[in-house]
Amino acid sequence: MHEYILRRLLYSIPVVFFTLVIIFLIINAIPGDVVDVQTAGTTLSEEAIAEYKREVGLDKPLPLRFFSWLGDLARGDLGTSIFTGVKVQTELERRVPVTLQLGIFGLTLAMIIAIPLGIISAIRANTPIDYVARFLAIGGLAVPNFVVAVLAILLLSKYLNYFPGVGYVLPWVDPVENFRLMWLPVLLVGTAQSASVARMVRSTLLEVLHSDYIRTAWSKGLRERAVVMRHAIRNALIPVITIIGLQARAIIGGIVLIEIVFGKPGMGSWMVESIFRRDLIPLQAIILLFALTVVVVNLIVDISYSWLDPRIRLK
Amino acid sequence: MAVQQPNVLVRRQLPVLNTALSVVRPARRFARRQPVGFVAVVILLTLIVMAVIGPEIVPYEATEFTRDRLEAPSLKHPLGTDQVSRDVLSRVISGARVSLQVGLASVALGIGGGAVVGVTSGYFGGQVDTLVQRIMDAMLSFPSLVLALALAAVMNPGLTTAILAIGVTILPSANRVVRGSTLSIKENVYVEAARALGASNLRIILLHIVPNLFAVVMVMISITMGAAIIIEASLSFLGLGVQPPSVSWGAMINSSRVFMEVAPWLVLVPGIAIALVVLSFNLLGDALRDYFDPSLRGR
Repeated sequence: MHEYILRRLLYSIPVVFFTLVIIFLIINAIPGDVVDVQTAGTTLSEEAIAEYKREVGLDKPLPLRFFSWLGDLARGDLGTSIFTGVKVQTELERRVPVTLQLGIFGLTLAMIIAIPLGIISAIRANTPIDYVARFLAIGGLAVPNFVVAVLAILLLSKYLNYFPGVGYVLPWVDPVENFRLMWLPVLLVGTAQSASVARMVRSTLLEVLHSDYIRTAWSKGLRERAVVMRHAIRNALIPVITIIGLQARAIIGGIVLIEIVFGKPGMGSWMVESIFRRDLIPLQAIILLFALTVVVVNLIVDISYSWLDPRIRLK
Repeated sequence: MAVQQPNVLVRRQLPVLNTALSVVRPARRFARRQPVGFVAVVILLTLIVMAVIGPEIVPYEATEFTRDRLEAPSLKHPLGTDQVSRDVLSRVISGARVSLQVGLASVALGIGGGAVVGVTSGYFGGQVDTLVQRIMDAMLSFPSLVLALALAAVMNPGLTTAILAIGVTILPSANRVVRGSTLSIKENVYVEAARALGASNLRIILLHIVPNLFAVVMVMISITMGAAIIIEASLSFLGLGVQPPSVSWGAMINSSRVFMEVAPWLVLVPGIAIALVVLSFNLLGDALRDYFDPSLRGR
């Protein structure tokens, strides 16, 4: 087990390194650089701009700048927005809770909806209830979540005269207000993700239901309840853990759109704002945090998976 | 309804007929075994025809101002008009063209690129394989929309940027699927036999590996088309996709959001269009998977 964890950690090192390289290359692929963007349209002289670039180290060659960025990261320095003058760190403290709440609550809700739906669908495969569940899942996959969000706002405001509030309040500051502001975005993140999770739960459980030990369980006369609950689901839910890892990417993409539609001051809306302002320093930090979240979630998923299923770590 | 079997002589003389039959026969078999998939194909073909010739035959230009602002669907404007009096039907048809263009081009780029990387990396293995796969894993650590947004941000937003950005997000997953299949195909005895007969690596890849990837890639294309169209709609919803005067479904929804209480069709029409296309591609993908691998049927 320890050996597996060590191996898995070592494997993450090159992945994180290349992730950093990719982010650095994307940010520096912009025509010109941060300073050019910032000084565009100002009356600063060429010399003043060159002087400023030397000051912030933009005159150095790319590889050198990459390693000095790594150095900054290692010291926990994420830089300062050239647009607002606010440290990225400070802004993060305000933004992270919003996105974290959407992500964790949304994922939990997705599991609460999708696991029972997937189980019913699998044990009643090819019956009307399965067809309805599958239709809901494949239909849910087809509608982009920003469309659902926009339509939800339309229905609520037009027919129920209800307006989901804009903004955010921390749950430990005012739990009631937090619920009022966040229930709809969380619901939409959750339902959007539940479609693909339900499909995966159904197919893994079906695979288990066709295995030999399930036939044995049936043939020794166990009731359906015992076969499904004690033998099948236990084994089918282990692979479901990996779904969390696969879902991490999709859920972040979904949150970006939901934050924009509902006007939530989270990481996603910050990313889009930074893009429009060409504010590259926060943008760099936001992309990095999103990517690292995916890497860490997958690391945790793989390790817990191997802990639950010893066959994995022995491979 | 059985097609009259042309006699052998005619078939020998008409290679064209042979080619035609080799398309028609599997298509008929597919229609019979996968009726849902067949319906999806019909919807998609209709859509493609609409996207190609539609903009030429619609009564209004997509960017033309008629005089009727925010008009409800009527005979004159079957799907109503928007906040600046443009005909929604003409715009949604024009948007179909952009959606399919971006979808097809980015999928071709992403799956094409991913397949080349996946086959070579999987076939040759070794240190290069390890290195390439770690880079691909790093690319997979970015959520698709985040990577596409970041790329769209540093390049100038537009059709080409959207295609490139979406293609790049597809590439690593395509690589992973193709590499996995290549690893199992290359263990087959016929590959060993070909090597024993002195076939070159290129010959083995092109004649023995690639044809066996057909099923996997077909399924992947279908499902990825749906995903690509959703990312395109999301990008243009955020204002970072295709720019006006080009019409995009995502941008239509975004620009009409404020007016949706008085004119809900402005959001509903492009929303339904996206859902219908993506649903068709997903259903087709499922049908193709069942068709190629009957053991998975109903899973």
